[in-house]
Amino acid sequence: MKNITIKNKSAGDILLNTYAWCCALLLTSAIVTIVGYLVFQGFSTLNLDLIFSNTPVLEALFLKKQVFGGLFPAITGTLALIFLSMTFALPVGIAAGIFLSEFALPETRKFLGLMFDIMASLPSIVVGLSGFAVTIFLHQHFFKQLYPCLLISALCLAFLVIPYIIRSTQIALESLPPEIRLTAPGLGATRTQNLWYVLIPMAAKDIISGIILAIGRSAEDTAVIMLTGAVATAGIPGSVFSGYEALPFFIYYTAAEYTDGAELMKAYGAALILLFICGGLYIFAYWIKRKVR
Amino acid sequence: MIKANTKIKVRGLSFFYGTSQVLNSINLDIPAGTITAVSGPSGQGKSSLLTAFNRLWENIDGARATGRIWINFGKGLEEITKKEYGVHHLRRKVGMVFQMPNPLPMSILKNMQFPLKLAGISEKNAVLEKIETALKQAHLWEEVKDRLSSDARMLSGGQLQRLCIARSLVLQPEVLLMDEPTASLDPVSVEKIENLLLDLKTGCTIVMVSHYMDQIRRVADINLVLSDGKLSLTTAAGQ
Repeated sequence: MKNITIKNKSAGDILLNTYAWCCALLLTSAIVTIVGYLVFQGFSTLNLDLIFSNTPVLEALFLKKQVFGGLFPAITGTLALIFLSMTFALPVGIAAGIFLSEFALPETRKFLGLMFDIMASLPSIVVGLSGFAVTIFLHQHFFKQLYPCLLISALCLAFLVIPYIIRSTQIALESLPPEIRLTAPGLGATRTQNLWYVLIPMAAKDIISGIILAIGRSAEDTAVIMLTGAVATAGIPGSVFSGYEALPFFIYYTAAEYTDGAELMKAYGAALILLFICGGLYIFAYWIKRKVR
Repeated sequence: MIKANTKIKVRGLSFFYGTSQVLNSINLDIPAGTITAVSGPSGQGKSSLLTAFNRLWENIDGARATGRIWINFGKGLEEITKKEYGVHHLRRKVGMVFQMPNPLPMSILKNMQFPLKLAGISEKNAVLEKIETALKQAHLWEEVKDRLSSDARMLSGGQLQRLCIARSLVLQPEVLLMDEPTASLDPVSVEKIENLLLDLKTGCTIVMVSHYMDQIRRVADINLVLSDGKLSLTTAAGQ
């Protein structure tokens, strides 16, 4: 009987292995360095004063008093922006993804797929500028009271993240095994029943992954909001038609125009809070993903 | 001439994937209460033939069938290839079991309830009774009766395949299509499923794809051999 021996790795294998390890190590180090630097710089500024300034916390939380000089309006604005943009983007993105995967004819699928890829590659500043131009047009011709505001920003952000949601939904559905796709129809299910009871629940995990990416994108984007409604001091937005503050915009203009070190430290604190919000949303989405079987 | 106990009658059935033809004008009569094995080399259209009997090919991109098929559901032969024939109703009468067990991502009980829900059967006692009967028919009841709420995917391969058979049986189909139902199973599970098929054929006409001549000899009454898209041989199994 022949003995089976494991051959030694060739020099090429070792080189490739080392290169792969180095790349992985480099990326991990970059992430650890960035987050570590942020924590190092921003952690000391994290206190209630940074968020609420000299306003009593409860009065600020219950919106009885405006917060001036603290990050509370920017945090609220960011959360409102994420919530609103997702409210617009999720139904449209998921429905379009389902359409592409399940109902579109091959030619339509190819054409629309290309369109959505182009849409995904649009620079956010272009989307922001288009949103601004549309707002001016609407203001001049239809709604005199309409100015750049939370609603316009949310719509532009939704436009920005919709392609991610579409593609992740489409790919999640298309990658289901053919036997699973035929199981429910084989038992007499209609197309809609198959989608509702089998395909969407089975693809839910991957669809949620796409949504997590989209949430992250809409939380951090600055270019869109700086042209469509974010302002330095607006307080808590009274309605969707108000200007608003947002953490990414606060970080941007503070870093660009700070006058002393303490002001810059506030930007680090804001960046850390933005990181916590994104991390919190990520953990929440991950928890939902784990719950979905 | 059509025999009195013909369950399935096929005339001029051709099957295509895009421009490639896999079945070429098949004519066939399958008697009621028999197990018919379909064998032959890979890629000759055995599975496609099965999907013609419940029109499942309509759910497969690029697939197309021509020709006519009749099935006798107790009121004489009905042409199921007519466009107006209700496909969802047809698939409740013609069950199908695939090569790989395909449980839905839910509990054993919900897997069994699923076809009944689709058929609009919701009366609790009737549902539970049908589920118990089907699981007993599939020789699975004793193994799962105490854990019906467990995730179906936790069952072993053989148990999963019997669950899929039970899930098809819960609607009391008159025809059961099985596409290599034992291909992925161990010998013990294969034996259990073969015994199950022999039990089922009294109330159900079974058409199964199989590559194993031993298995065909053990369980089938008729063996159809498909080659180059045509029925090249029809023999009584064992010959």
